[in-house]
Amino acid sequence: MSNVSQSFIARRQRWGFYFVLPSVLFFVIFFLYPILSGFYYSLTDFTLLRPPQWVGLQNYQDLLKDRLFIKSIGVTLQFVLGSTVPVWIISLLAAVVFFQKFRGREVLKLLFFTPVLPSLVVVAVVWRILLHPSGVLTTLLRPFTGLGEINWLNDPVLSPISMILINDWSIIPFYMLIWLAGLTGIPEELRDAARVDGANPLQSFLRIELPLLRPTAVFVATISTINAFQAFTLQYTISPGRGGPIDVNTTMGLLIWKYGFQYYRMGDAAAVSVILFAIIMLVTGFQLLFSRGEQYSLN
Amino acid sequence: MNVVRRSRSPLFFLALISMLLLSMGVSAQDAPVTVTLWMHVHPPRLPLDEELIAQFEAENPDINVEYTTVPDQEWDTTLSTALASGSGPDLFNQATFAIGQFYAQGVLAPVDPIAAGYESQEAIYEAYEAGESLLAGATFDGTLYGLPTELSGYACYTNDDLWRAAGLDPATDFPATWEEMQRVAEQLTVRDESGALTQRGFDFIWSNPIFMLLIFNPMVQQLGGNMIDEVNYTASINTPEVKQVMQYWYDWVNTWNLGGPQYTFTRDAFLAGQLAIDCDGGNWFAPQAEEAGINYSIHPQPRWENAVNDNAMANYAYFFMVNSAAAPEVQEAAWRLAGFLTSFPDRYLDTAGLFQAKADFVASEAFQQNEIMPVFLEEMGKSSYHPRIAGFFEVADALMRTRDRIIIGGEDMDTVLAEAEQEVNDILARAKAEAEAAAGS
Repeated sequence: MSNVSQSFIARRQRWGFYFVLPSVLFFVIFFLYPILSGFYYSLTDFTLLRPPQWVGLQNYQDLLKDRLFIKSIGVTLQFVLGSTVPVWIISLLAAVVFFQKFRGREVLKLLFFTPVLPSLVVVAVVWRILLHPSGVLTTLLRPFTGLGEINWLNDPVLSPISMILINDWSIIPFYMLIWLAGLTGIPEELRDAARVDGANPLQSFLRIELPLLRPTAVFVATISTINAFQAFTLQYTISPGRGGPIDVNTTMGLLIWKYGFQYYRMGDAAAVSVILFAIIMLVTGFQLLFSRGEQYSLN
Repeated sequence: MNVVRRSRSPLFFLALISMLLLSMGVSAQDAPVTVTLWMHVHPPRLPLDEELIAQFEAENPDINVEYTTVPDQEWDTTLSTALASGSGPDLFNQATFAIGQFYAQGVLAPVDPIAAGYESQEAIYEAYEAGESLLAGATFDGTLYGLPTELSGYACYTNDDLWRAAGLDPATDFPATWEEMQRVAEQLTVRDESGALTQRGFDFIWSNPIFMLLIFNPMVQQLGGNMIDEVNYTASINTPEVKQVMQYWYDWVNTWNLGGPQYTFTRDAFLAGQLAIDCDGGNWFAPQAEEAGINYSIHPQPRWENAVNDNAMANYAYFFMVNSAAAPEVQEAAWRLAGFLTSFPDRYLDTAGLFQAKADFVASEAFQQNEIMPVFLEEMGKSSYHPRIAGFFEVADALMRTRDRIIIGGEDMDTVLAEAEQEVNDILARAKAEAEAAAGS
């Protein structure tokens, strides 16, 4: 290669580097540095009010014996389970419904999407009113339950279920939209061909559309799982005593806040966040690995 | 073009540098000291703060004040993060709940009496009504670490219209004991045909863990117990006194069906006319009750029939505190500002409903003629502060968990209280060890 073309490439590379530099700097300052400093703090005794003291892996050892932390893992996994599998199924079904052509579809779709628009804090406040022991939901269910009062938020069994219901209600429309985009991306010719070959709508969905939705499914599964693991806002806003009753709503995200800013145990909070980070990476990696199986292609 | 360079003599540069250094020194000496002041948001107080700070700056041209307000729900996070990053305020208005933590970690500077306008620390105690008792919230090992911006203790508010509707007169029928409270509350409670409560007679405040130390523990103290020993950092939870109070709270929810954690926050319910007695309001609650159109009266807290102590609920307060990391001249200016801002107790009470118990103000005719303040002052005088410990919120959470395991979860009380005692003792032991480590470093 001539010197002229080599210097041209070098110049292009230099300019390319300049163009990506802002993004790299942004990533380093706002992502990499906090992650690394979080890991460093997890190895210290840090009360926020005094400089951190190096303790090595002591915080991690302590967490293994910490009942609140161990309980928070169970609470988080339970919330993740309730906020993923039902969400995938219901949002997919909703997408299939809204993919059909019928009168008033766009208006209904808009109405269905509205829970996504307000912030989760607003959603929580509205639901707190709805879930009053003798509130609207109890009244609606009274013909079936015969109960004048239901402790939706203060019953240790009902409360986590209520959290999942509120969360799912607010996020299903978003994932419905993702599924809908995936369905729209499937060429109509394939459905026509299946129909010509005698496939009924269910067979067409199961054999043609569902396999082709695999990339969408991976995206929905990954994003919804990550979001569910990071659960905080709803539990902080609506659960009694922030995580109660009896810590049945103390997710790992909420525990990080409690340890860091309520208990002045920032070292422990950082250790929990590192463990949560590792769990999310592990689950996400597993999901991505699973999705690398047989690929369906339109070609 | 020719440029002629002239060489300067070393003497010239020496003179120049000297003048620069001199001017810097002079300007540093003359530059006003800036005090950053953080207050929690209490809307009625803000205009008065701003007016008085402007007056203070006019009277003290050597001091600038940077005034910032922080919403209550963001206060702990914002302040602790700022202190951790070294950008904390010089002067801040902090509740006593975290004061044990702040003291243990060396965040607080002792009050500078001279700067604050007093002859000595003793003079500060003397300047306040029952100073030893009411300033105890910011006193550690005989040293004062704050000047109070608002002192609080709870009394009972009655919705007199609901009482009369039930055929009762709050002036004569208000319960003097917790045992009577149950009977009166039952008379004031209204249920629908399904048994659901549509109006509560009285209910405890269940929502926030701190009330386990502000309300539950004082009820234990009335019986002679005390869950938290703030001096020795030990817990006594598996005791007959705690069991008596816990059983009462349990019966309130599960046996007598008079209330519980599932219902609307008591203060909101009272303001909405759905609660006949609310015993978790300070004097600052009166303007809210008036604004809500509630026809109310104030009463002392009930005691147990077998009480051995005559205390009401725990006192708590907001104090001006100074950041020990601030420069000495800034600390001095901060205490000067704190002393100034606590010199207008009448205006803070009238404008914002905040009580600063200056002795001369309490002795004034205006205070004595106040319809509600003497009741609050008398109750506060009989009570003590909540435990001022490092790990306050962690202990409060553990106690709330204990309460809920028994009352909501239906677990065996003896077992749960024994476990709670162990758990809280572990929390306190760790907090004490951290405090000792901080003191040694």
